[in-house]
Amino acid sequence: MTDVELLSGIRVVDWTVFGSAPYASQMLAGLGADVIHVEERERGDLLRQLNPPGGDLHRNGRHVIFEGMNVNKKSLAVDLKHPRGKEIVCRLVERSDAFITNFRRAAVEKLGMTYADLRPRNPRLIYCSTSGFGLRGPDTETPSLDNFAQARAATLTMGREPGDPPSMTIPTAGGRTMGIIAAFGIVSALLGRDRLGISQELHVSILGSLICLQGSNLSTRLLLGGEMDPSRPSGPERGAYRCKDGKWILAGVLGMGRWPRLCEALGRPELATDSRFDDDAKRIENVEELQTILNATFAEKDSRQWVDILKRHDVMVSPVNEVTDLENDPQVTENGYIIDWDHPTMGPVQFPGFPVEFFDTPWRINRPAPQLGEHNEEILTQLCGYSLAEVQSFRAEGVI
Amino acid sequence: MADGGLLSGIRVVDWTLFQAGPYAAQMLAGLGAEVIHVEEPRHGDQLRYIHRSLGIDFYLPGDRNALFESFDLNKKSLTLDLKSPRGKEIILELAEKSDVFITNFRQSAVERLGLTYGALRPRNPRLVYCSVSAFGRHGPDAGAPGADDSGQARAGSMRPGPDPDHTPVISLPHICDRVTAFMAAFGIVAALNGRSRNGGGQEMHVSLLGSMMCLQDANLVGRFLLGGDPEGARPLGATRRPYKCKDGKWILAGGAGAGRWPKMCQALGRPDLAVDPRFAEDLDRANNAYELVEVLKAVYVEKDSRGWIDTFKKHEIVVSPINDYDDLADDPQVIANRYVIDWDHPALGRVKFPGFPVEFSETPWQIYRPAPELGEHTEEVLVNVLGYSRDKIERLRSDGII
Repeated sequence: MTDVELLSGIRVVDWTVFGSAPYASQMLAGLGADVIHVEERERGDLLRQLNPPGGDLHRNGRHVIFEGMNVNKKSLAVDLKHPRGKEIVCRLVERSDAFITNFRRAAVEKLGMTYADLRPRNPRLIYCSTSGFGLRGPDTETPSLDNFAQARAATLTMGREPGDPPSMTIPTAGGRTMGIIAAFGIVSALLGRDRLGISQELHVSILGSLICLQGSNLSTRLLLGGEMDPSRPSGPERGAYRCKDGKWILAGVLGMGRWPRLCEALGRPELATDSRFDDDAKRIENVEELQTILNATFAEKDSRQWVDILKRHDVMVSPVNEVTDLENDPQVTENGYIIDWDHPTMGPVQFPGFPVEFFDTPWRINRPAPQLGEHNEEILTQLCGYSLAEVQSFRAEGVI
Repeated sequence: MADGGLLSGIRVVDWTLFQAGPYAAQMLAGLGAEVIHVEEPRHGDQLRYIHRSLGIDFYLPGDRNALFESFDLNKKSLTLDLKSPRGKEIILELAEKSDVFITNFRQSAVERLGLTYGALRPRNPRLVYCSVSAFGRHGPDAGAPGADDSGQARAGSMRPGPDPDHTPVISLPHICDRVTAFMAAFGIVAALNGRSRNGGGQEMHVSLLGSMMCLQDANLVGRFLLGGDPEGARPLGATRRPYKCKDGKWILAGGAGAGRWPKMCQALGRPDLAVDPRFAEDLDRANNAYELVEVLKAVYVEKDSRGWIDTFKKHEIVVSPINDYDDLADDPQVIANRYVIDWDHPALGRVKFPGFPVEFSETPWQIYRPAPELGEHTEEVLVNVLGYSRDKIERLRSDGII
């Protein structure tokens, strides 16, 4: 392992709010990019204040969801409506590699922060804009939040009976998916810039990202006209079963020719040669009968026992975790998907890790989410070349 | 606009099967990388043969498979018997001439065939090597097999199903494979960026479990930092939840942030609700949520969904139809942004197909070619990339190595 951070030397101006695009820049920040979150000087990113009715998402003065979107970033608090404030951000853009925003097009235009506005200041800039519903079409200007785009992308109705109320299967999956896709787009564009000399604008939307997330299901529908039903078993050889202790496990085999192995593991080798179940087509045809037999078999032993037995036989098996099981699952903690972190103000906490493990240049938490304007002085003096006196005058005039 | 594609000149050895690995490589292929899918000579990637899952048949005319089409677009297919020494030498030669190697075979198989990063690195120190597993490289289930549903089960994202026992079901089909592919593709391109500035390649790893957790991480972080049930992070209040309209269609309307409620009442034609003491303040609406839901149900059902959407838009209130898959391919918003495209598939004719969620101003995502037939590009790759002679290729073919 080297000390080199993968994206060190890359600077990102992160003019974003809430929870979709901010995750994109946080992904870059955890790999060493210098990410500067530009915030409205008084209230900052509105996520800092967002609370559900009657609830409070703050702990020790920190907003926990904000923390989840903004670790490893710096904060520059500035009044973009003030000409001097705007000049500060433009100067920052000159010294940066990427710019990302999820403000609505109208606001971006009003403040003079479009790609066309910024490109003359830095022709090598990669500019990523994001939206709820895309750059074109009747709803391109419509504001959106995660669940609206989920509604539009058909994730609220998947697998429901006609007439059943839509429901959110994975809250915040839309914004998160868009963040991941935007981060992919930005690093791809940076690579293209360095190899081909092409700088450009890119755009991602929550709607498009969610359609991609469901891509195989959608292409199946588009090519075949059918629709996958998540409540149907993946196949007769794989499914969720309740064990003797009442816990659910997911178990089974995938691919051709592995059915006898499962029968062996279940202690029911006779099922492999049973004329009702001895090939793929028959197992599909007699799936309900088979399901009843498997349900009864799994109910004979505790989940822990089945997990051990199935693992020994090299059969796929997993506990069906609740969210509350995750922090106690050694598989989760040993891979760093949840980490222990000594937060400077909250103390020892658990925190989500990062799903990509780089063997030479790891993801890491270098700093918590910044306090509003925490890095104003550092950025303005060291990066933009303003004097301390100028910084004082910005402060006095309410520019920062 | 550049012709060659954003990642032109990048060559990827795609030794994968099924979905999570293949889609990562496909994301790179659509941006112009040359992706060579290495397949076992007799059957190829087993995804070609998945004929039925989740209640649907995947076979298409002409021995094609709807899932394979969706995961292997824009790739070349090279068949190789990796168990034979000559087949193995060919993939090593290919790795020497490539930028990226990606595999989602199990670690035990990778080791048995001698295709670990340790084995490949001496042949190509600039190689970015990405491995994909079900549950991560460490821990009691490192190396254990798993598929899309295993990742969803382990990551806490299955939900109680509709049967009387509430047998857990996956949240949405195949999204765990997809998000894992997104993370792998991101990681690979990030590593290529690092390589171009720092010199060397490296190994990286992603798993179904880790990626699925990342997808839900905003829910997790609230739980970890606040403790207890993450009730506070639950997004849908009484005002912002699906309601059924007169025409039977569902819509979702309402905005974030305080102070929007009176505007919403105005749009609903019920200004009285804004001053009703049961619902006037944020906290009132939270405390009387069930009562408010009943009131709103009765309001929404008075007008067709189209009418409500127009009304809300006029009042500048966030609104969206709640689409199902039938609606998606006809939604003008979806079509205008090319999230679903019309495509003349050489074998299937004119079809609709999912597009790509990143729009680049200079280097667009493209469909260069459909998913390859098994071994379609074996000869091309051996001749053009590795410089093999026709005679040598004939011998490999007659010996069953390609």
